[in-house]
Amino acid sequence: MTAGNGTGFAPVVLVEDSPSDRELACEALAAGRLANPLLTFVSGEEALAALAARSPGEAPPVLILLDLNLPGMSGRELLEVLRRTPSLAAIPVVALTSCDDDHDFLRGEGLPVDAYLTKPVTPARLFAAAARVERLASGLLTRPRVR
Amino acid sequence: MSGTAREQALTTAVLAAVPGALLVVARGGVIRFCNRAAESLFGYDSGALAGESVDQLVPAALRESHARLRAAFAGQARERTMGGGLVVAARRHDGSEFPAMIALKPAMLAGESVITALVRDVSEGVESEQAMRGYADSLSRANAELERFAAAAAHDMNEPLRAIAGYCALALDHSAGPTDAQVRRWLEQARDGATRLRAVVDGLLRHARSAGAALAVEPVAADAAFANVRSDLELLIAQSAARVTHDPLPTVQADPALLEQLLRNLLANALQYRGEAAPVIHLAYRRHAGHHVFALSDNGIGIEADAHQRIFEIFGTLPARSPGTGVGIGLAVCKTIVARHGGEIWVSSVPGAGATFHFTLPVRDAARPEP
Repeated sequence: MTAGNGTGFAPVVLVEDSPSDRELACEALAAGRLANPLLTFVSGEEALAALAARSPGEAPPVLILLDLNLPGMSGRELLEVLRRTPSLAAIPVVALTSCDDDHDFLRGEGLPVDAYLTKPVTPARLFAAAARVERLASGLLTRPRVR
Repeated sequence: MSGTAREQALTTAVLAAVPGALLVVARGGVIRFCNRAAESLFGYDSGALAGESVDQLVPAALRESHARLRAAFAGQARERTMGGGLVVAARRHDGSEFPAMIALKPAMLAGESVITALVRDVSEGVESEQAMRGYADSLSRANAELERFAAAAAHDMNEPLRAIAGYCALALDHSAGPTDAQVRRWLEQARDGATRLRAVVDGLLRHARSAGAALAVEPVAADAAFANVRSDLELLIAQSAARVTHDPLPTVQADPALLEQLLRNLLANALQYRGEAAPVIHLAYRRHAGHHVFALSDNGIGIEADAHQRIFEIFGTLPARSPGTGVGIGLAVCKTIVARHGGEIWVSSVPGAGATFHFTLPVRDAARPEP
């Protein structure tokens, strides 16, 4: 697990096994307007362990960016566990995919996710998704623009 | 020889000469008569079958049901033809089995009601049918495997491509000094290369999908589909100052997503291979011989006759006018989509004076499912 900047704000969680996708997402989000700290996990197991071990006072993540193709516990399996765990069920989830084309395909599956986002993860894509889905926007914090 | 004896001898000779295995079975299943062909088909010596039960000629496991069916048939006493019948298992004297088709006909023979049976060994037909079925199965397995492979390969290629494009972009963001101008140009080239390859990979994935996914055929208003496609490509149309028009278009039976992809690929193609003049593109429609016939014509650079087949193959594209725009999959996808709807696609062109892409879709009854 990689901790974010420790601002005390509720974090955005990224579950992604590809090191380059992870680093590029971190760089892009750090350079953009997103003020929430970013917590990254390399596997579903690691993410689940950290989320379950959260102390009662700690704010839950504002949303989870979830790669669906994870080795070990797949993104779909993690999603299923999240949705049936009362303390985690309400966290919005954005599924990360490789191609735009995957979205229609996955919508057909009826996965319990709030939105789909084609990688790479960028602030622009994240805020665009949040503009479409109100539930995603509620916890996202933006940095004031530096003049 | 008396007249009756002569007739009897003639009858016996004729029956013996019938080019097929003939059996005459009395009620109760006793074989009254059989010809030599029947004896040899079932592996019996001459004269060894007459007087035996016909149930011996079916495999032991089926004997009971055969006896029941035989009794039922005798009760109905109607003709059953060989072609219309099913293939059944027959048993030779040595216990070996073969698939047979049997024609049955009730008859009266010397005041006794009997059933005449013609038996044909269809081993060869069954074997070739099994071989064909096996071939078709292995072909569809190989196709499914190829589609899975293409989809997996496309996904796996996207990850390193994102890395190349992403790190180039990152390096570009962090290198601002004037001495870096040359390095910046190289990075831009690498990033653009990765972006182009990404388009190829996504195209391959779409191609695998267009060939593999189930068709969801429904009534689609072609004019609405074409309007959607035009708005998707609005930017490209505006940039090239193209004029895009169409005839009144019908409602067709098609998979809406695939029909739009077909029209999008064809329109994008017409915009891409433009000539010096602003593109003038028209989608014409007519109905001909049970088919919807669409024809998208342009005033672009056209296509040489020797390329008319090749352009519909994967990576069979012409050299693109501007580098990096010819992905080489779009028309192959069109061909797959049209073929899956039971239509055809072809191109006619005068090089230098534009091209027309024609495709057909069968006129289908809305109620009738895809064949």
